[in-house]
Amino acid sequence: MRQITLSTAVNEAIAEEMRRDETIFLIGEDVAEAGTPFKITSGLVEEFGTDRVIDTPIAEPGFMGIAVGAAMTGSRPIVDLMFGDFIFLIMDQLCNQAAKTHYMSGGKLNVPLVLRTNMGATRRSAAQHSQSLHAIVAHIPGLKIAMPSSAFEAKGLLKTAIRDNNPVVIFEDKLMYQDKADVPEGELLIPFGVANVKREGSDITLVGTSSMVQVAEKAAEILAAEGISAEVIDPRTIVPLDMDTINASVRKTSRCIVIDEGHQSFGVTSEIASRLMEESFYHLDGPVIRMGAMDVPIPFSPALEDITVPTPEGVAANARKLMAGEMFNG
Amino acid sequence: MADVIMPALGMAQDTGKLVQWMKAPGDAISTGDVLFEVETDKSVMEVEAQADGFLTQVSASDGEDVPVGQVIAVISATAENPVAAPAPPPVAQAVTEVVAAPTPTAPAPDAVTTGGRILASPKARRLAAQEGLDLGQLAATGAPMPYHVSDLATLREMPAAAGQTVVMAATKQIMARCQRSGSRDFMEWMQADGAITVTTSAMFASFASGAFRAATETPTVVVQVADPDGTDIFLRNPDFTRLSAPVSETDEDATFVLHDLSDSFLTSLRLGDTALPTLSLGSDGDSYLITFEFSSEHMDDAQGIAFVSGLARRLADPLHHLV
Repeated sequence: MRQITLSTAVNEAIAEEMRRDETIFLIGEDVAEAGTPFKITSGLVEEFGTDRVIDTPIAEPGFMGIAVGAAMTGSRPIVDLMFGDFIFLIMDQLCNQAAKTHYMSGGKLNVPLVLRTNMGATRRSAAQHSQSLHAIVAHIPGLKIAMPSSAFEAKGLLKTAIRDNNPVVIFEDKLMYQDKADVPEGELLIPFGVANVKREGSDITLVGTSSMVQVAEKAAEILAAEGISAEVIDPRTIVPLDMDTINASVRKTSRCIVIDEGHQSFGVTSEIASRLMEESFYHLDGPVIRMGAMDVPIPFSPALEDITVPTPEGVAANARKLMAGEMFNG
Repeated sequence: MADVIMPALGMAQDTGKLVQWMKAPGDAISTGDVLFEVETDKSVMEVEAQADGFLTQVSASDGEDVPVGQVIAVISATAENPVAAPAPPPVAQAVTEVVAAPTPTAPAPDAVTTGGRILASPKARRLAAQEGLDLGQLAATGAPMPYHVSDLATLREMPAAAGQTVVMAATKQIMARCQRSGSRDFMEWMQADGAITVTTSAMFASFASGAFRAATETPTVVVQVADPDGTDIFLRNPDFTRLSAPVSETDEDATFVLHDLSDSFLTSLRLGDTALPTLSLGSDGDSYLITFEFSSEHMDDAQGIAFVSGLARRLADPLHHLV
């Protein structure tokens, strides 16, 4: 199969869907002429014109509000939010309007809107352009949250999101835009709420989201050389969350580390660890370990930034401790 | 006469290195005498005698690595080598630490203040309870906490402590044979009529639960459906649930163990030290083979016969289960 980059996969998904359904339009800062700072939407304005690929001023609350209103009245907008960090600017439009309209209108109104944005540190972008804020919106009922871990998932999850009649937020890791993967041409739909077992193993389960799937896979390689068999699971969407697959794996291995690039406290790792404790308590042979970004603003200093987020070596070290039955005392 | 065994002194310890004997074969031994020194990965310990007599049948020498639990000598009433005979349960041995860990300045990695509690993983606790193992016995050896599933291997090899409930072995067996065609027709009918797929394990659990209840008048029946490749499933009153619906799993203690062997060459199975009645369902051509093992602790003979007969009737003609 051909290999394409994650940014090409996103571009292809948007183009295919816009050709299929002319109620879809793309809106955001620099999406048309500049093709976004990451060159993801390049070429789309040439094919679909400025009526369907709309550059906006630097006014996130404005264009998000326009998109929510358009979605309620028959369009299917794809909103490009240049950095995930800017999500704080559109919290009312997203969380109070888009997430609740279907519920509060008694089902009379839908908001078929996709918000594409990004996450991820180690790009030397400092504390205001490096955050991974998906847990903040995952907390709000009414929003679905997808986190692609490769170009394959980026295309398949985005096409599914565009066809969903409810608001979906997709977080792409900005460090993975140039990473290539096998992606089929044409139709590719990945259902929401279906986790992917990336690697089978018997001793310990590593649950990773987005780029942390790669971290988990590298850790599994390190551990395999030491005779420790790690299973790697990619939930692909955190809302809805496929606990059946995660529970089945942990009931097999009895040990689990959850890895996510959001801050460790009050995050995705905490949620999955809590559910495992509730649902698989009597199958656990050790504590479920959370690994997220340190609870500090992401540093600009490269030396500091690189140790702020989980690494394969750190995951492997925690896996060894779990296998040895050592205590985790914080 | 008492066996002298290599004690388990560390977590996940498979062998102990016998540093040196402090007594020679034939020496007179008093309770409390230091018999030998043993080295673990953390320290060297002295092992004391817990019986009076003479040291005989010494089978391990200085410097040798010995598997934990292995008998390495016998304290006999006489100094002569007595004929090897089945030994009574050995006396627990007290150990005293004499040499500190190699780096005494570093904090002990597993030092845990437990306040008298035994620290163990949820899975280790569950398995210990199911197998009738006492984690307190492991704690008494000074093995560092917390305990995990891997530590249960050490515990399984330890002799039962005085006063501990002895696991009752099943001593009675009832076997039966019945036609498979009735159950097969029933499953095919469920599939054809209602598109309902009934697994043999689910059907066995439901029928066995119903027959057990009818025979013993037990109000709550928890069937432990054994899965040798995975995790056993505990089903609460599966005969109260329609076969098409999922049965709720439970944490309660099982009433009996069910081995579904109908798709294998095996016909009967009883593994581990389970204290529970054990039901095996094997197959032979067009017949199911039912084997039920139990003891008088569980039920009387008439109840056992009624249970197996009732189950065979239900398997031969599932209409009996519905009546």
